[in-house]
Amino acid sequence: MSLQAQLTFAVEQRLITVDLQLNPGEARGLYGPSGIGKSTLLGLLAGQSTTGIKQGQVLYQGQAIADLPANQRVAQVSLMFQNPDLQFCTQTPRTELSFCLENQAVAPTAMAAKVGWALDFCGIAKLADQPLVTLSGGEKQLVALACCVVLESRYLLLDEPFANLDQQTSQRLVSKLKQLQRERQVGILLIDHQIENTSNWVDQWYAFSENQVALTTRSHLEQQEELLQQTLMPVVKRSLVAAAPVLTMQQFSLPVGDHRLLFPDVTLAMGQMIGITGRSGLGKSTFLKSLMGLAPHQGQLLINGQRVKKCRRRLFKQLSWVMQNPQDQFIAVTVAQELANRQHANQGVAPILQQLGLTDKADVSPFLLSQGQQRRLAVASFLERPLTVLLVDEPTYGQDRANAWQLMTMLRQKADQQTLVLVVSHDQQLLRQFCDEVWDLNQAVEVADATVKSNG
Amino acid sequence: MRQLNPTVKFSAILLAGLIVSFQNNLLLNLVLLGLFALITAVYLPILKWLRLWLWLSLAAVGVFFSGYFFLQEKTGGGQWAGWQLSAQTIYGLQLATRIYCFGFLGASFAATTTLTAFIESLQQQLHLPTQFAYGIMAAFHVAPLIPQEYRQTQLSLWSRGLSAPWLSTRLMTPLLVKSVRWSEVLATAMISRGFTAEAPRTHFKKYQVQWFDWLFFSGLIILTIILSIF
Repeated sequence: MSLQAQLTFAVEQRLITVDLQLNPGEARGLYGPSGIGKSTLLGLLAGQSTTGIKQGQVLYQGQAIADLPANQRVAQVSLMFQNPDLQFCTQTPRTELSFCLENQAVAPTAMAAKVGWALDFCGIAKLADQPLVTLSGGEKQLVALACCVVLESRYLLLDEPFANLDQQTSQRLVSKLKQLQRERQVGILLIDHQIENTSNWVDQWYAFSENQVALTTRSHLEQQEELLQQTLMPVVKRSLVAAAPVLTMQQFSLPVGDHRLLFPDVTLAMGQMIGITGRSGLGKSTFLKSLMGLAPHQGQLLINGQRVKKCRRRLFKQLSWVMQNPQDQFIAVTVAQELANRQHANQGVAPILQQLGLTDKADVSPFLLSQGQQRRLAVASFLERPLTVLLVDEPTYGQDRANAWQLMTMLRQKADQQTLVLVVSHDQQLLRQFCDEVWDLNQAVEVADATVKSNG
Repeated sequence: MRQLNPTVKFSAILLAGLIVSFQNNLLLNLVLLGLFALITAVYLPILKWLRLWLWLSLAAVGVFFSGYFFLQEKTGGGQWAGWQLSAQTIYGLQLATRIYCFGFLGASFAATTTLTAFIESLQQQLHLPTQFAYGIMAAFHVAPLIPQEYRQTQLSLWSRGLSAPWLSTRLMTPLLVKSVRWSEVLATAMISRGFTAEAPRTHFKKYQVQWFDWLFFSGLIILTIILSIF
């Protein structure tokens, strides 16, 4: 008795054949380059739709998932989405979890205990009544997991669960998942681009190729990664010639939720590339926002010789911001137009499209690309303009190794063209390889004292 | 007011409002105005309450003068609480107090009810279809995202060295595309939480109609009817 899928499904023009099996209490992974159809397959396995299935079906304990109504489906399988925004229907974690139970027609008297248990299990009991919109990406991911836990599904499908999390939180999530697997015999299938996240845990991986999904082992994938690493272009860090300063921070500090980030006095120059890392919810994105005047700071901040207080268009003459969620910043109807930035339409776009591997997607809506492709497109569309400061939030989120490398190379090249590049990422290894300096914001935290808190 | 069942509260207030709107009764208007202004004062922060007065007064003054100047039958008039008032003034006052009356009736409901509670109660008392109820709720949760999205699109344009005037198509097109996407994604999210319109569901919070709900309903309606007759 298990999850069985013998399918042929279509991703754009390609047909992919898959023969997949997952037993209760077993954990397996899905691996492959971005845009190959991993998320599509997960959606099919969760029974979200049957469009694209050319042949075969998905069976849970011998029963076709497509024949079950949604409320019975979740008893079998839960899917955790890739994008942590927009996957909630109510206001707070507590109401969201109750909503799940209401759908299952659980008796109201039993609900509070179940919700409390699931929140506790995921370690987010203290977030229970906070509005979901105020949570960080990582926290939202944990709430999504809590939903899957409270639904008590037999199988759990996770779409890049660690992409938005720091190492510490990832490890916490892994231990929770292991616990579910061991104690409740939950079958787990997850997509991940970085197999290191699940080392000592997931050994069996389904690897995607153009037309096939085949079972392989962790050690085999590791070997492949090593080979790939050798083919990647080496990083060239230019030695800095005394360049003009563009960003000055003095006694700069930043209130974030219940804590405060304190920064040392620094002056950053053109051509530098600074990596910023730290655990989820610490305020990495808020730090970038504060540099544009979108979040209040204390102390002095000068960019291009101007004080930054409020967010004004003037500031953006020589500054660009690549947002965390690429969908937030698409403005055009097609991929080609997105890259052309409404200038001399579509000229000179072809080589960039090719570099991004999106040549055949030129006339597609950017929203229809895979998450990884959207990321690459979003970063690339901001690199054309001459800039002094470029702020980039999680550029390698949802990217396979080769593409992450390519993106960071593009950013490094931008830095070498006399731009100060600030990159926020959880991937410390990648940051160390590309950046001149890596700032760990974990070391900048100062817990607000009681008086400040009572005033707030 | 907070403890009252949202559906009953809503019906009572709606009915009272209807009774007010079908007559020109200065006394009724003033009594309801006073009563509900007091109730709102209890639940609203004082600044908000004063601001409510300000906005209502703006509308009321306008309505007063249109009543004052455009009354056809200008003869008559009368004594009211010892004051000699012309027919024009009385008509103007009747209209103006009505505005306050509606304003405070509505505000007293809004200040004591959350949207979630209202919709939950509509489902449980009036059997509002679930897909409709959760549709409204989802829409309300997405609404605050719209100005945020607008701002983000603007920043995205700035980041590309482009700009767009207020409410231009450049800014609005992505917003439209996104709202369609949101509705799709939200629907998927709800389904993947096991939501179906057909299957029976339970409700975490039970909304019931209790004796004090009936007391409020009948009290308010009887009061308005008595004042209408005399």
